[in-house]
Amino acid sequence: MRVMNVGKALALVAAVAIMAGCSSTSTRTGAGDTSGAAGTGTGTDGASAYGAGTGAGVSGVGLEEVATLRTVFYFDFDRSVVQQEGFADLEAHARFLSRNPSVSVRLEGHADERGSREYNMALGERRANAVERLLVVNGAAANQIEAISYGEERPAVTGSHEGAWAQNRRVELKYVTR
Amino acid sequence: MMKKLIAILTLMLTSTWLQAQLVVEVTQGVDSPSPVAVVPFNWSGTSPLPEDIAQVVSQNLERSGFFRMMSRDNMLSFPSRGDQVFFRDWRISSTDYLVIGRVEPVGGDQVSITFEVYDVLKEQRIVSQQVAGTTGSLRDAGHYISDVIFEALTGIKGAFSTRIVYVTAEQLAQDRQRFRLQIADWDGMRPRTILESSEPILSPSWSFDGSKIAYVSFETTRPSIYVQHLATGRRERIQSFPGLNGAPAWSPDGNRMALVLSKDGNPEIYVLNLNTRELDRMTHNSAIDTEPFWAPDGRSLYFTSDRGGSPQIYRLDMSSRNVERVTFEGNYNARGRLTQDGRFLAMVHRGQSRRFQIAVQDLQSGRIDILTNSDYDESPSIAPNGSIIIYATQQGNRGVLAAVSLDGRVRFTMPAPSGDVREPAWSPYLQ
Amino acid sequence: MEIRGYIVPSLKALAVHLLVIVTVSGYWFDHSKPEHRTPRHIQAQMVDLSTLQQAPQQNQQAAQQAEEQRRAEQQRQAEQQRLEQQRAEQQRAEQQRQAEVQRAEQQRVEQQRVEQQRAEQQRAEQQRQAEQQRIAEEARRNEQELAARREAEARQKAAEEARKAEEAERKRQQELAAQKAAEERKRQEAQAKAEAEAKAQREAAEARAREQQRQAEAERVQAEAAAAAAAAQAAAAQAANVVVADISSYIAGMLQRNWQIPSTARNGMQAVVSINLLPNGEINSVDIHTSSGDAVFDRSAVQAVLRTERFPRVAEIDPILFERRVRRTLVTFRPEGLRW
Repeated sequence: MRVMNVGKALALVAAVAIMAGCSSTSTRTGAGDTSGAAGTGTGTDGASAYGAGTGAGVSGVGLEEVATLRTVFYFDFDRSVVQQEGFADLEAHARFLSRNPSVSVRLEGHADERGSREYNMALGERRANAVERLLVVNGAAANQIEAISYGEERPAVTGSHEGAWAQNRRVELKYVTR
Repeated sequence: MMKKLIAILTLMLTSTWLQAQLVVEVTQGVDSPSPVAVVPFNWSGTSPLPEDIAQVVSQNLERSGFFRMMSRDNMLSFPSRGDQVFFRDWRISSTDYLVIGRVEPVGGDQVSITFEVYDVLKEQRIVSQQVAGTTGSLRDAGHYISDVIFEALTGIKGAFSTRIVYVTAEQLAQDRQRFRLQIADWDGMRPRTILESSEPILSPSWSFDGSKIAYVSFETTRPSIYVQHLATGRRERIQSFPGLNGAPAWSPDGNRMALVLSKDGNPEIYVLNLNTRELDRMTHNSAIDTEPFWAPDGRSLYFTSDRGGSPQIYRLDMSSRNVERVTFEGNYNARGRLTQDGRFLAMVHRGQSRRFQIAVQDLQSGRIDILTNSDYDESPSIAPNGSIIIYATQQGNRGVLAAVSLDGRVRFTMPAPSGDVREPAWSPYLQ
Repeated sequence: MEIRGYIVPSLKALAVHLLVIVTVSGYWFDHSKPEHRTPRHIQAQMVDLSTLQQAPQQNQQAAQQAEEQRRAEQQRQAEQQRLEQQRAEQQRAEQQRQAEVQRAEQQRVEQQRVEQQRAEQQRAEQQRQAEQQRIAEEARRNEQELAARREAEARQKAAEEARKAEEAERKRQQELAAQKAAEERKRQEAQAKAEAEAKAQREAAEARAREQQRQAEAERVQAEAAAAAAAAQAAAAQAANVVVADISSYIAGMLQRNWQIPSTARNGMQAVVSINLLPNGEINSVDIHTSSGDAVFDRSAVQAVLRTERFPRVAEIDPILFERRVRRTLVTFRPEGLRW
């Protein structure tokens, strides 16, 4: 499993150079509305969250480099395998993280509304872990990444139809400062 | 010779006796609730009472699904004492049972409530009781009276004095949500918020004596397990490891709590000793193991796992740590709950229909019955008397609570407060 | 050397002696040898004739004897064959004779059967004829009777008319001679009397015939009634069972519509309720006969009966059957097909 991931990652490293430029414009819209743009950093998700998480913007680091990358990654029902289309962007995120050890990311796993809530909580975490592994094998350090699951508690889109569900089965990648 | 004669004589007598009687066998009946009339209770005080006890009783009995209530408009008389009851009148209107009562002021806000239950067909009084209360606790009195009547008429202990806890979610703005943990009467009335947060709250669970509630809150943006004392409102965070901290479940003896942690990289079931704070890992599997709940005897844990490829319910023996699969029908069985007698397993089930429905499995026979009929039913919780399952469902794009009798005969939706309502948990019997 | 000189002659002498003994022994042991040979003789009988012909080369005497025996045997066989043939012929003759006898017997039986048939036919014919005759006679009698009656009626009518005419005549001729009137009256009376007598006789005969007919009819009816009664008695018992079974399922059906199975009911629970019915189908009393052990279940059973109030079709049952079988009815409430 691990070997295969490395293999895939190596293949991606080669592919990224070619693909990064072409895909940059389309990913921005997909990520923009859900994450509130990577540039503003963390804490914009929960309204009045107590405690940690609400940091100021991440300044001093060239976040522009990843601003155009996809930050939401989608999954099939009851599955925690990252879809192929997200590989390139994850690789770019990983490279960025490896070059900037002071930057860290929070991976928020989500599930669609169907099924039981605690099981979906576990499913969301498994998805976040899947993304985390991809980042790590591509150069990011484990201590730069926090994986968390919201289960079905924070849907991106409301509604009980496959269109909404498909957008809710996701992992959101958010940059945070230490 | 004498013996033989007696034998023959006996045989003859028996055969003639058998001949003398027509023997009829009835194996089928009607599947309809018994008609009951609850006459408005007579109030001999001056100022009007804040609560209509007869109305509370009537609604309770009707919501139980066991009874069909007679409308007050159809009542020919409003007796409040036995000597005022004319059975013929009630019989004509096809009433099986009659409930009458009266409330008398005792002094201050103290009242004395007397109620009687009659079997109209037999023209017999079944129950007569006097209850002391205050004008402020008439609803409690109504629930108590409902419990007494329910048990007298069905043989099942009433659960109308129990409570439910549930979570509501409101979308205040595009990015702002409000989550509330609320406690209400079993029928959803008199809701009281015990926690409010902008971050998700889930998996509320009653302690076995009904004095505390454990739940998961994301108030720190990470999930943690809290225990809140209902009497004082005091609460403590008892588990906050990296990763998942979820699905708390009190053991029947109240000393332990089963929960889910992913601190070791994968969601696993643990048992926390609440006295020593020792953690005991129960499952060792790379699959998802979650949603633990205790068998009533505390000797085994049931939980949801996808170790077989799809979520199914498994049983773990506490002493041997052996795990066996419990559900086999359908490709999704999760969030199980057991009846107090340990015989029936209620769960979220998805079978041929591809819908998520509440089903109940008879653990003796293995038979599964699907009780609900909508697409996204979840979070079943069983009344302590095992007669009704409360669950979360959707109504017009909104989450609401509904209830279904364990035999599937009766389904009804609870009155919905604002927002999405979800994750109901039924309290044990309360003192 | 000397000894060798003796050996040859003595051997020769021995040979001669032996030869003599052998030659003579044929006569000496003439009686004993055939007994020993017997098996061989039997063997020879079984073997082919050609092997027999080889035998003489070995021993002429034996062959001769064998030949003699064979001939004797042949002769015996021929004799036997002849005898057998004779016997067979006799048998054939006997068979023939028997066949003949049988045939004769058959013929006789056939004849008898035919005769019997014919006799039966004849008898039937006779019967038929007799019947016809009887019918004809009856018809004739009927006709005669009818004719007689008709005649009598006509006569009566005529007499009446005549009487009227006579009276008219009498009235008309009242003034005529008294003697003539008396004479006339006498004659009239005599005639009337004869008429009446004849009529009475006729009527009596008719009455007798009618009585006979009535009696025969009564007898027939009685016989029929007796047969019917026997059949009816058997049928009645069965009919009663049918009625009881029918009323049983009817009562079960009524109760089923009124039994609200309580939620506490489980498959296998059973309560027996005793109902006392009135002849009009109303319920006189209901009691728990055998409790299920569950008060709510028992009550539901009693309520099912009380809610039913009345079984209208019970009123249609024969009163005796009602008393015997229906008045006290036991109802077993035993739910089936419950979820658990």
